[in-house]
Amino acid sequence: MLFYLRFIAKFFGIKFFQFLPIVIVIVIVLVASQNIVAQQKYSISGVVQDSINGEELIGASITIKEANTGVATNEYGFFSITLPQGTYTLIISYLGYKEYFQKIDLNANYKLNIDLASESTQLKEVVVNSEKVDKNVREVQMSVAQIDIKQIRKIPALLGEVDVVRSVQLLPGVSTVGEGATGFNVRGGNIDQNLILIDEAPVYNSAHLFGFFSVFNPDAVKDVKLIKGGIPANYGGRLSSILDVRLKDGNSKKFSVKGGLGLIFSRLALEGPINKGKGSYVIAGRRSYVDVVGRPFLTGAFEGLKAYFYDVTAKVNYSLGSKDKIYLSGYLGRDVFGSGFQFNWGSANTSFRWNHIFNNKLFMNVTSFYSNYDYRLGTINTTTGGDGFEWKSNIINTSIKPDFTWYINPKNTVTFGFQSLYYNFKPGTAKVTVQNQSSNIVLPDKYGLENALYAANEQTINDKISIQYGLRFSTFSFLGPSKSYQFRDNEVGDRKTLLNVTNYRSGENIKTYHNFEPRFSAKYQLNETSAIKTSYNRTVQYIHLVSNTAASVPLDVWTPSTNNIKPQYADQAALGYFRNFGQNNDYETSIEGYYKKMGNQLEYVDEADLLLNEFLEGDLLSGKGRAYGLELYLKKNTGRFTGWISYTLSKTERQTNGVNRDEWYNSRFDRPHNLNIVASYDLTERLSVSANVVFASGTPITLQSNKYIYEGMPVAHDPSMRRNNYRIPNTYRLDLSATYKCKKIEGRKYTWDVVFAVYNATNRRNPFSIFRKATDPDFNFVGPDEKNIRIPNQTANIRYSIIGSIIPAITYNFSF
Amino acid sequence: MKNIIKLFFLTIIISSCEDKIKLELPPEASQLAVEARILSYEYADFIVPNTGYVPATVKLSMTNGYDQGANPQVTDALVTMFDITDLKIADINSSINATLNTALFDTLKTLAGTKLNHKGDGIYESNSIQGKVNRVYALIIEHSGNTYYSLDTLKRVPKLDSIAVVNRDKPLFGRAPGYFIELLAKDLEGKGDYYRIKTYKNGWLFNRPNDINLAFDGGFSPTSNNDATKFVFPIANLAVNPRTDISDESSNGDKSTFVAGDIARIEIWSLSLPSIFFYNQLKNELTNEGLFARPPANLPCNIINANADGPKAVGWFSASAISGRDVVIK
Repeated sequence: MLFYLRFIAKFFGIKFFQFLPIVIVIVIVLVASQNIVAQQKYSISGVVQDSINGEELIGASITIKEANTGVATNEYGFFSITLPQGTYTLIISYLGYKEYFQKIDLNANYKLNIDLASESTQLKEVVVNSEKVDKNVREVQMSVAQIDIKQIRKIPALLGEVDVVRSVQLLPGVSTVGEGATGFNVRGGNIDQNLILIDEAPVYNSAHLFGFFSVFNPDAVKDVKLIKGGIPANYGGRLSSILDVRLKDGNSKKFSVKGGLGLIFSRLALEGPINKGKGSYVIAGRRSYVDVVGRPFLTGAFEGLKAYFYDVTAKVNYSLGSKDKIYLSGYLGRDVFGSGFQFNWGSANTSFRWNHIFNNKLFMNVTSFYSNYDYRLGTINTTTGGDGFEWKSNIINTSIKPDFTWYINPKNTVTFGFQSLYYNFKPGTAKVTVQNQSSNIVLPDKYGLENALYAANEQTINDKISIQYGLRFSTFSFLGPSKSYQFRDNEVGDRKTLLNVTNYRSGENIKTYHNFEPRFSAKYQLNETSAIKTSYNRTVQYIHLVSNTAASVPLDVWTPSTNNIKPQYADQAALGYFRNFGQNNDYETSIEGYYKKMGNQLEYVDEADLLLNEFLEGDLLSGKGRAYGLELYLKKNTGRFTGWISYTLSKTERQTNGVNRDEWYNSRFDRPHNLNIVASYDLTERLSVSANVVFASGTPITLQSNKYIYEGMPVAHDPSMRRNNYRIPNTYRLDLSATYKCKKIEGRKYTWDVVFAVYNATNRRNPFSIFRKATDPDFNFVGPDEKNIRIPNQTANIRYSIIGSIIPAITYNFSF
Repeated sequence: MKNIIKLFFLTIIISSCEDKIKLELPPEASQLAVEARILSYEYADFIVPNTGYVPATVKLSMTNGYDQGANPQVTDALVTMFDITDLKIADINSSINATLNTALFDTLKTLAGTKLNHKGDGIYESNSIQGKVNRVYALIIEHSGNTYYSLDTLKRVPKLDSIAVVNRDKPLFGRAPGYFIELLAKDLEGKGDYYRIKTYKNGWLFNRPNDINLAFDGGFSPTSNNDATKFVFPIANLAVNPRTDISDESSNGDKSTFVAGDIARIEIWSLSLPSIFFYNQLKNELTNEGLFARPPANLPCNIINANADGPKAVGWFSASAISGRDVVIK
């Protein structure tokens, strides 16, 4: 044992006395297991699947009627529950599926795999005899939204293409800086504070075509879960949220094809069983084709214009006997854009996972992944007359994470494990070719090793109270081969002066940070249909997106924490009231309040040079943030009419010495009011209509009040150097869509539907920002001898809207 | 960048749009705005003569609200320029804000400077002080009971060897096919030379923010390593051919910059390190718009009030040596 501890200590690079976290983890595990009583107990374990395609169902609830207790399936459809000897009724329910009952005479460990059949018709007004789906009030976890892909498909979408990230933006607590911006902001957090996982591998840029579409192909996605608070100990590395996207396993019963033709791109997905259902696969691809269709119209300067994206998502899984299952998932996607001078970006992710069931109570999943995000900019392969410019940058990330779930008894479920992540940041290599003579700008690579050890227990104290407590201990080392920079502080807010550069050898430790991240959630059940929940979490993040633009650019640089950049951290406390209404819990509601404090948030000096700047760290400032808000959520899950209303009242602010005269200022994505209504109604069996209303306060922007002329150009100036001092007009948008399905004919495999969508139906020009420019056309020139210079008396404030018109679209989807 | 983004929107049907609007943003306190320079033509081979050239020019006005139209001119200031090379002020270019201590400022006041006379419209000029390479110049402005001062060094400039004219039948980075000019000149040996390269057409300077073409030695970034090289492609071959359509920068496609018979001029202006950062910021701020805009920031200023508690000025003083040449497009 001691040897093992020493080994771990060595692995983590910490001294023996720093063993406290490991001790705490062990204590959590031991305390939880104290509840094991000597009475003879047996467990029921198994996997819940869809009866038609064999997809494992995530979060299906298993209720034991007699014991008045229950569990939910994990991300792999697995569950385990331990009970004293006796006869029990097992009820398995999952939204949109028929309930499953089974009587079990429990006198030995019991294993069962359950196939749930989906509701045959969606038109059923009332589901008879249904056990209520009451996860909303029963689970300890708060601040979570799970959206079924079927639900995402109903939301009217831009250009008719359903999108995961755009749907997430409609949830309470989530905002965005504006249309077309990459990513999303959760409870006042920056976009880099969301851990976006695709089958447990992180995605560094979730956007295609800047922020209009996300990298998740809806044909390959099974489940989407957003955790905004009370983040469990097994997740870490980002401050504000976890977007956990799980891919489909693929149809394990029969080969099937799904696809769609749209205005922007087309999709095709194939799935089917391997070796008689022992495994299955799914492969889904998309490609945009405006560049192909539009080629004849691209003349003059537009000739040779490239603008497209593609992605391929694939996954295979295979069962190795009843105890082991392996999964291999991959994503490969790229955006290419430009003519002559082009830029392209994309990522390649693979994750390999191994599920192992040690026994009825102990489940293990080991995830290892490799992810590579890269971009290139310049005269790629189109060097003109021996002259050219090419810049590329990468982030390569590899990780291993063994994660254990120990179903000790119905009252205690312990999760524990560790994660080790290795980062290789290549901030930029630029090659400048002048008359076939090349010169290179190479920014030094940065390496980092992040390790985290965690344990948590979910404990049912009594009928009313359940708690979840855990601890995550994380360390980060900024490693060589690299360089570290020492700067002299100038006046606060000014660029720091470089003093010294130190070179480090391979593997040499430049700077190490350790952090304890306590996590806690509690639920108090008021009655069958309502509960109060609270949570606290500390989160620490060791990687940072360096971006001072309103919307993130694909070329934004990620950097690890270094000797100059301290890890960012957040403390969040939340309190909520959860209540279900209706005969079958048709309505789920929640009210949540949160308060979040953030430290070591990056800001930038005014003249910051963030691209290809080796001394970038001298241009960074460190600030703090605070965010608080109230989130109201009403959701209707069942019947012909479904949808949700979400309203968020919030405030998010920053304070940085050297910005806004050191005073607090609103963050760029602060939207005090944010209302989203998503509604869908099935008119007939074949026709359904949906609407989507978005109302949000305008975001604050920086506008300077004064002006002077320099060399004929109007320069805006603000004597009091305010930041985000002006709020742009509110955003309001209405989207509509109608889906017309083919007639259902018994025995016919081929089905289709057509989606008509109108985005921005009221033709409103929602502002993204306001900027200034001179409008006197003559200001552009200075006459001979500079005597005829025209002073630009005409300056204008320009309201800039990303989408300036109604966008209708039609999409044809098929499957067989 | 902006053009690339516009191209992009074009290709996905979605069209971004810009509307003029009125803002409720009250102006703040007015400040003295300075645009000052001292010049020296080192090499000039012009077809269109450069008749109105004045080596020392200072323009003074007061800042006003962004939407308040023309800035009020300052016609009653006392403006003096000095060659202070002999004072041997150490390393004035090390920081963006050149600062002087009080003692030096007192010394400066005892020197005999050259008074710049008000020629009207807030423009102060003098032909009796001539810029010279490697000399340090000081400027003193006395206005409304405040004394402002500034310094800059006039740096060397390379000879502009020639301008090549190329007729391309293919577009080049969004520029339509047609005549392109190419700057043939080399950065001077030794690191730390900075330049602004200006293009004129028939005597008219292309003076939009996007036309500000800066070189750090022979390269386009302070960290690029291009000492003593030919000016690199983006500077010497691309940016010297400004886009033509001034009303809409996205539709740059159809006209080439020059047509046969035009007279094109290129000038290389030397800049000190603080000055090139100023121009770099000027360009960045005035082209900062759209989806990927940064928060706007005030430009740096090297016009310092001798009384640290007094009102601050805005603007810049720069010294430049110029090397220029004309070419007939054919």
